[in-house]
Amino acid sequence: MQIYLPIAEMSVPADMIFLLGCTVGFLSGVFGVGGGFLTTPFLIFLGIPPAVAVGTQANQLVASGMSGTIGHFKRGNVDVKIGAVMLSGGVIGSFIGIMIFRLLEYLGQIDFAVSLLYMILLGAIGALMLSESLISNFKKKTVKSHFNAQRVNPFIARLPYKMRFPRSKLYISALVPAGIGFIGGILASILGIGGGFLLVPAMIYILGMPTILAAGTSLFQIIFTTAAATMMHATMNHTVDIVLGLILIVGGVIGSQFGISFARFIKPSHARTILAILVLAVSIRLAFKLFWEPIELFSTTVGGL
Amino acid sequence: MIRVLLFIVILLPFEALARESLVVDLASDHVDITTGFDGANLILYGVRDKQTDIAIVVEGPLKETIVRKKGQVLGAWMNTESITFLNVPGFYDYALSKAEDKFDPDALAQHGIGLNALFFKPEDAPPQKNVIKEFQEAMIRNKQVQKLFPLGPQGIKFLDDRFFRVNIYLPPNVPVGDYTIRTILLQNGKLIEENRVSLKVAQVGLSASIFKFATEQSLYYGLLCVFMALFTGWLINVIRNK
Repeated sequence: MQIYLPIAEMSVPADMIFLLGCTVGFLSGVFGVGGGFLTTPFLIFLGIPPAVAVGTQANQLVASGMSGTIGHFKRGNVDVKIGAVMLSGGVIGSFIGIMIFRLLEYLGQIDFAVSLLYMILLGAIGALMLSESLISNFKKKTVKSHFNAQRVNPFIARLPYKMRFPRSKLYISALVPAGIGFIGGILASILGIGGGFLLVPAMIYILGMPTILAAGTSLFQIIFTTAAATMMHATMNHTVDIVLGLILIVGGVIGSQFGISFARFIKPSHARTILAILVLAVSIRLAFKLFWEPIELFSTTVGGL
Repeated sequence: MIRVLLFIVILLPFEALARESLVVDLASDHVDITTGFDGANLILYGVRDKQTDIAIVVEGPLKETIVRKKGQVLGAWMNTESITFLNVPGFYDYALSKAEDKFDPDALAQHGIGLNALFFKPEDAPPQKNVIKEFQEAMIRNKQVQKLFPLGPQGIKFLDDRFFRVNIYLPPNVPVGDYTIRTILLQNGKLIEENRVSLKVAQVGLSASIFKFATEQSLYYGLLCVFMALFTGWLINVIRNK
């Protein structure tokens, strides 16, 4: 079944996209969070231009960030103050990100850049996840968090603009959370990912935040960072497609309901292994796309800039 | 859903005056793209005088088109060269009343009829001619894969000596904009008459409103998208906790 996307100005198979939304929703239901970072590469595999995939996905992340944050907020897992500092860095990062994105589009390298960045990112994350989950499978015990920040890095201790963050019990330069948020913002604008899997370890290890607070706060600031990325993609690039977003979201909600029910039947460590393999598979697929000689060396794009 | 477009070409032979004349009538001069758009069929009907040859050319909106070639950089394949061609039609198709090789090639070239007659001007100081040719052929090849350019001429189906029909298929990914349909009468390689008709391909209805809103009032559109996402996120949370 084809549907014509008004913003992307192209006809796409609505059933495939719905299925993609379901699958990603299912994964996020099983693991509680994530799976979003698989949506953008798959949209591109389906033939959707990277600009539309990234812009629309940024919007999706606002929704998933929102739904995740409410739960955490109720349980008191959000440090609003440090989140606010992070998101100010994030908004600036989003802006720089979209400037880089547009520059890459102008140079005709956006497909290459997005593919390469995803390949590296997913490859690293997949490898880490796989090793973690295999170790936990063999050792048959829960994996301890590697990130026990006992001491604050001396370099960080010397940075200016220190602020008190009572919730996390931290006294640290505001530049650090802002910097972490900044990187998250760039990733949101260029790749359409929330960056939670990078931000949470960074917050725990670099900032020294307690784990539970890190999860909740990262979701909180993702809302604002990805909202900024969405706004910029919508106004500067005109590539946020609301129809595409709707199909993905409906599929995602349905899929996540199945995922949550299914989660009961599966051991968390097995689930992590499967996800890790899936992530690595996408990374390898991208590697082939980049390093194997393509059959068609030429590509045609309509419209000057 | 296939939208059928009737395009009637009537050629009235004024034998007494030894002059053919061309009358063109369009049942509908637009193709509407709605949410379920899956391509459209243009059907052309016409009547001709026996002696004339007919060529019909359909051209989509002319735009600057960039062709990029990949090369290997440190093992990875990325775009390394490009040529920008000017005034390339977003869609091209043509129909001939007899086999293409039976037409005078100069006549075809002069009037831009057929794949061999296509020549596009590159934007900047052009490199060697064979490089331009390579890029242009690649561009046509890319467009053929997208079904925006034909592999060869369409046939003109003759229902009798004078009455004929032509079928032109517009795939779902046709560009929006103004299309030109040229009807060319040739006899012994000489142009007798050429007529042009305009066709407009555009989004209508809901798709069009969304597109208009997104491009003209992008700030509000962006805000709308964000608020919808926030609302949806809240809704998901409510559903999860029921």
